[in-house]
Amino acid sequence: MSPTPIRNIPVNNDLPINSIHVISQHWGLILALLAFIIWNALLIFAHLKKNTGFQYTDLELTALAMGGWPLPALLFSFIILFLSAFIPAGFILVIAAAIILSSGWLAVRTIWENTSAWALAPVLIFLLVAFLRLGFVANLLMPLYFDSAEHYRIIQELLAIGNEANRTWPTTSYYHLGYHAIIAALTIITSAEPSQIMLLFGQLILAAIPLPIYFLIHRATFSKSAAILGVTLAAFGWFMPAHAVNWGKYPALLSLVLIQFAFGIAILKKRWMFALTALAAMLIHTRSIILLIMLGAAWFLSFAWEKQDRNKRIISFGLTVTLLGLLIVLVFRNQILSPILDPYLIWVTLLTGLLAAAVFQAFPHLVIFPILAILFMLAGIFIPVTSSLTLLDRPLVEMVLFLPLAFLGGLGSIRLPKFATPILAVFIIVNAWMTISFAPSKCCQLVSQDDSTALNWMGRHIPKDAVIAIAGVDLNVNAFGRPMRGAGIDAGIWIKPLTKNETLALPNTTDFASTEAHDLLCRNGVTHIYVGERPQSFSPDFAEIIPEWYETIFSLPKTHIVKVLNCGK
Amino acid sequence: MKQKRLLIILGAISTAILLVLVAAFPLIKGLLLPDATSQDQNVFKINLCDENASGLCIVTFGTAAADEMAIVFQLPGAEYPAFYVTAVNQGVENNYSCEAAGSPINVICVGPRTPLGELLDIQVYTTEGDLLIANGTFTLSSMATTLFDNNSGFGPMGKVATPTPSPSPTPSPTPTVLVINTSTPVPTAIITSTPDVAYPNP
Repeated sequence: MSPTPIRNIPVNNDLPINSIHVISQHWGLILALLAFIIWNALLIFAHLKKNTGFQYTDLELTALAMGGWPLPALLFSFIILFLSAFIPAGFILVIAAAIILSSGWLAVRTIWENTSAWALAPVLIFLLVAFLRLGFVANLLMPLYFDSAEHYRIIQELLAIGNEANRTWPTTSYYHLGYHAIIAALTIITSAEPSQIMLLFGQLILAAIPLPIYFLIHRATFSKSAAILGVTLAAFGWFMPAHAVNWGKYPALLSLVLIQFAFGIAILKKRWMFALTALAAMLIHTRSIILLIMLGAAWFLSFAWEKQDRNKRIISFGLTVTLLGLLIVLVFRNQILSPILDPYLIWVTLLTGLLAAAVFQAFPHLVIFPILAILFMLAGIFIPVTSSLTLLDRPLVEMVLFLPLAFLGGLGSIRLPKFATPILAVFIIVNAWMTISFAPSKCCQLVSQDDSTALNWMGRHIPKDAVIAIAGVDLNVNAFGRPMRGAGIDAGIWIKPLTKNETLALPNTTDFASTEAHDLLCRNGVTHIYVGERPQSFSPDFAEIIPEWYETIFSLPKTHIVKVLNCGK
Repeated sequence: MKQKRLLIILGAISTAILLVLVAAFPLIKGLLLPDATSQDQNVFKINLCDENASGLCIVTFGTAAADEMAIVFQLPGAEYPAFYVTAVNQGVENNYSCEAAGSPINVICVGPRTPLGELLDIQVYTTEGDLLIANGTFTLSSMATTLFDNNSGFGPMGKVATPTPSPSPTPSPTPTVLVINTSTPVPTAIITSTPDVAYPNP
């Protein structure tokens, strides 16, 4: 399903006022997060400035640095987390301030004499996009979808590492610990609530994502307007990657910033820096390494293709396009995978295709490179790795396809008359404003005000050893293999992270009036059932039907907490 | 060249200010939002009553007349001084008048209703001398609807003081204990759900 275009009715009328509201409510935290990002970008910029030749403009390097900031941020966060296990919070703040101020001063001293004013332009664009993105957070009680609850839980576990009694690894499987380490460190420094940091930081990540592509397009075309169009497309061309914040895909979003930086660093031929960046990207989101390998393979194959004779070039190009077409048809016909194409079935994609075709003669390998990248990404969702995993998953591919497309669009725009590119950029922004909602999607808001009240009540009234049954469904993410079992679909998913009570996910269609269901609850030591207010939550009627087995102990119009009675009788 | 340098200086100053703010954020936060516990160390902190409650505590919140709310306190002893309560919600302060109810160590204070889920900053003052003797902040997570039933032990109430006029709070849904009809359990199997597609698009 593509975003519903609402003709003549802007869907984002409330966005500026929402942004102002969010900024006025959280100005201190927003300022701290912005400073954190800009400080890290400054370090990267100073490093690039010192270690690259004069062939790179300040604008290029700042744009690239706006993709590299997670690298020092991750290192800093690991240091803070490590220290927090042994040193009191007050000293941590002093150490953090010392690191920030001393490194910042060294960076400023490095760039002081030889930096142009253009270096500030990407930062200003970042702040402008951040202003637009922050409105998303207004009225949100918690980060969205079930991924966020798991992120929150892991962050809390990392924060508790300092506690002598709780020095356990926060997750049984590897799960994007780089992102969680950054949020945990920010929590220590700012003393803010991790859920607020997740929400606000997520929007700032979104604002940073479009910037590094400037470097890549400018390197290819030496055209500022082409590079700016690429940035515009990456920021506003499609509803991805912005929609991914609705899925709580914060680690993947953060890795998208770093992947672009890694690619830029590869162009700069800084091997050690590239290796560090690739490692950081992998720590932040495991599949980044697969994306980087795919991008690298596409890059080298496109060069190899260009060196072939004409006949081989035609045949291999035909083969590539045929394979791509085949994969698109396969994806389109697959019920689980077809949502990948939803964001891109709009005129903007057609435009980027036409622009790319227009510059194919001038930049053949630069056009082939993103096409191959798209081909590899789509192929990645069909390649099984384990019985339940494929090389890439559907949501990641859906949220990353904008990158090669924005690159193609920016590259192709050099064929346009000079006046046309800014007009096109404005048109893309207006189109986004009119047809893509910048507000949270209803699909993924699991926690309502009633839920929030119920969760708060549970934290105070339900015993710590109580086990709560929550509604879950089996969800398909991959083309093959087992579905994701018992994924949370309402606010019940937040019970474990917030109240520390154990939960048991049961199918949301469970018939609690049945003897089997009551036996199952008793067998698993379930003491309570959480009935949320999502359409897919448990139906609340069962408690009325069988009072011998169930008693509603908390009831709001759409949220109920039911106690399980008479186990073993 | 001068303009460029000026811009760099401005950029560097802005960054320095931001950096200082990062370092000072917890301090600023502490100054702007002082912790309630640091306001007055001598004032008793009210909590919800538990079995070991030794000081003034709150038994429950409940609904009273239309748009009114009752707060049921438990006193540490019958000799506790007479008091009244002010409660601040969303910056609006309301007075709650109090009187004994049910037992010598229970006091009910009645005032304007606060929506569920909201924070309520409660302060207890002595009737004589207006001395702050206890305070506490509560999230209003549930409200008893049966507080003034004949069997509740708290009623019927005598006169109820008129609360100080305040912006009318939005009526909120109240948790209720359901009256349930008995019926025979119907044995049916747990249905296994059919997998949906995860991560929906808008």
